[in-house]
Amino acid sequence: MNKPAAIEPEILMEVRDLVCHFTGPRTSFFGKRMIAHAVNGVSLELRTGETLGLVGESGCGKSTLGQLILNLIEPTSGSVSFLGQDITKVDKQEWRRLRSEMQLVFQNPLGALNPRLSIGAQIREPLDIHDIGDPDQRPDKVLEMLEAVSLPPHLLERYPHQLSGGQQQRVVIARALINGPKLVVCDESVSALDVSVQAQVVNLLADMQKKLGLTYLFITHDLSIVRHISSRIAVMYLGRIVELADSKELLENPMHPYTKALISAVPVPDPRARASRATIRGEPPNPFNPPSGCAFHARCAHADEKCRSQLPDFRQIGDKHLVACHHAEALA
Amino acid sequence: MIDPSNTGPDAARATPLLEVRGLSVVFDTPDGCHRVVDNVDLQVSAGRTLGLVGESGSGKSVTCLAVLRLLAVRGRVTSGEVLFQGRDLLKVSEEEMEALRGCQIGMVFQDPMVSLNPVRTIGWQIAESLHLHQNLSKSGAAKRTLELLDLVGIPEPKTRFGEYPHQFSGGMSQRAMIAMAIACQPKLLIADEPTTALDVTIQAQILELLSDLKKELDMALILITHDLGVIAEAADDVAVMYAGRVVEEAPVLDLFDSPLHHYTMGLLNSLPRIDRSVDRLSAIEGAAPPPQDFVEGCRFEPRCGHCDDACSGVRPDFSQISDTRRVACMHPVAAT
Repeated sequence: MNKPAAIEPEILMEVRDLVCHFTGPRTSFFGKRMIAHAVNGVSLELRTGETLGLVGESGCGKSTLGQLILNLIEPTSGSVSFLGQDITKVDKQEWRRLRSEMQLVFQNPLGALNPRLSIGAQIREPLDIHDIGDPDQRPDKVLEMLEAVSLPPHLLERYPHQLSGGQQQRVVIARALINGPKLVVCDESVSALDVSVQAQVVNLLADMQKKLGLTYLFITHDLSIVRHISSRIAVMYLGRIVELADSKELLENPMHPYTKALISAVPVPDPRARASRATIRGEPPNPFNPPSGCAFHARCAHADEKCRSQLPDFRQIGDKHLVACHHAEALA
Repeated sequence: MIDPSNTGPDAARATPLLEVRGLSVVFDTPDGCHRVVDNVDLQVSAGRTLGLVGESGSGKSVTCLAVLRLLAVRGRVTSGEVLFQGRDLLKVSEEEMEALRGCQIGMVFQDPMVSLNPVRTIGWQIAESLHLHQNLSKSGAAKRTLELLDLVGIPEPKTRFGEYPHQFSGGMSQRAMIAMAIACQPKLLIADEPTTALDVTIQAQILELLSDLKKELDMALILITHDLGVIAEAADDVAVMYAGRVVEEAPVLDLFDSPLHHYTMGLLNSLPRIDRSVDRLSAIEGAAPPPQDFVEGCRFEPRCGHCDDACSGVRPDFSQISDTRRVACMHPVAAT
């Protein structure tokens, strides 16, 4: 069993200068195809046992980044290495072995489950595919997993549609964890659930992490959940990471104007906090036609000539706090 | 039980613009009739926002569809009255109802992209309700539409007027939907999860817009949402629904300061919050029952840590805590 490393956590996954472009429709009949810069030069690392929260608005490229990390889509350039091995370059057989070490939990559990397989068969499938362990012992392993995600054993014979949303998501989690992966990418995994059930699943994910030493990349648009579950948070805007820091530091001392705006836009369940709201103007820019310089300049109150022309470096300010803004020091 | 002669809450505010009394809605399904809305009372006055909050399947949307008489074929109202300016909407003719909908009562739905007609321009769609309800000429309606687009904060209204829904972003389409809903200056606006499909920064803009419009047009607003954060942000009064029933009603400050129903309490405790961190979320165990498992007694009982024999079997009556607060629980939070 994996144990979270003690002092200096080892790097489980490293992403370097990752770029992913999608081609869109032509500008005109004879024109060139438009290119969407979905992920535009992202570098980050995941340390064993941590939860990295990846937040951003829809269309910022956070799901694309999650899929690139799992090698589900091919990057335009850049590298993704898992335990020192570049997974974009490994051969098929090796990839098959590596694949069972990384799993994905999606937003909509009913869409992720096979409607014609019983819950038991569903959870067992990864063991069969990767031929893990003795076939005779697989039913026991499934039962064990079912118990670990707090589902009663009588559900084994049921089908996905007979379960509630929260139970379905538990099945998806059980199926993702049965192979003993090291990395789990959770893409909006709790966003479709009702609040009371959402809390149960968030707690379950935290418990499983403690028990199995898992590393999570937690992709979501919901900053409140990210605060709760992540040790570090990365904020993404139009294909780039604009700020990265420890959760508490990022939320209590945000430096990028976009992070600040995002935090202040989250409705707080406290009617007395109403007045303290600063809304930002406008909408996220079109990834087919990204603005020059800092992508946020059109919505930013502090933008000047430099912001409009020069792309800000992603640089370190203070303790383990990275930010891509020309005026970060002045605004802090 | 609420005594109809008790005019306490009414006297404190103005006479309610919309009053729903004892509304029950039944859905006929192949495996029987399910009462998905069970004896619901609601009221909202001009200039106020009623937040209707509950989890999926709690009956909040069905209640509002029943108010507008827009229930699907299988749904029917079995009892209750819906008094809008003193008239029972359940008794007026279909023609009268059609005249009321979109004119006196506006509605905004969750997903603007599916609510808009993809083959008509935005301007045409907004002008349509002006034609229908206000008999405006073509040029008059177009002029008013431009004013409306401007009012809801759509930049360059003249260009946007001739564009189609697919050229609008999610936030802009929702603004267009709102423009359409308020085109005839309705007295009541029902917004069903108006910001759920939108990003937080856009959500903040839309909530601000709704609250500005409410003041400007002196409308009553019913805001349906599952998000207590949105309720805290935008509502004046709150009704919490659970499994087809209203379980607690309170002004927004009171509800968040001292929730009385254990469900409300549990819901507030299970929220992850951006303004504070906790080690572990206190989840409510179990899940809300589906309509076929609705019981007569307290429906929250299986998930409640404070129940006893008195809770099952009989429906908990509302206890009127103050002029503005009531709760349907045998053992409300303050008393335990």
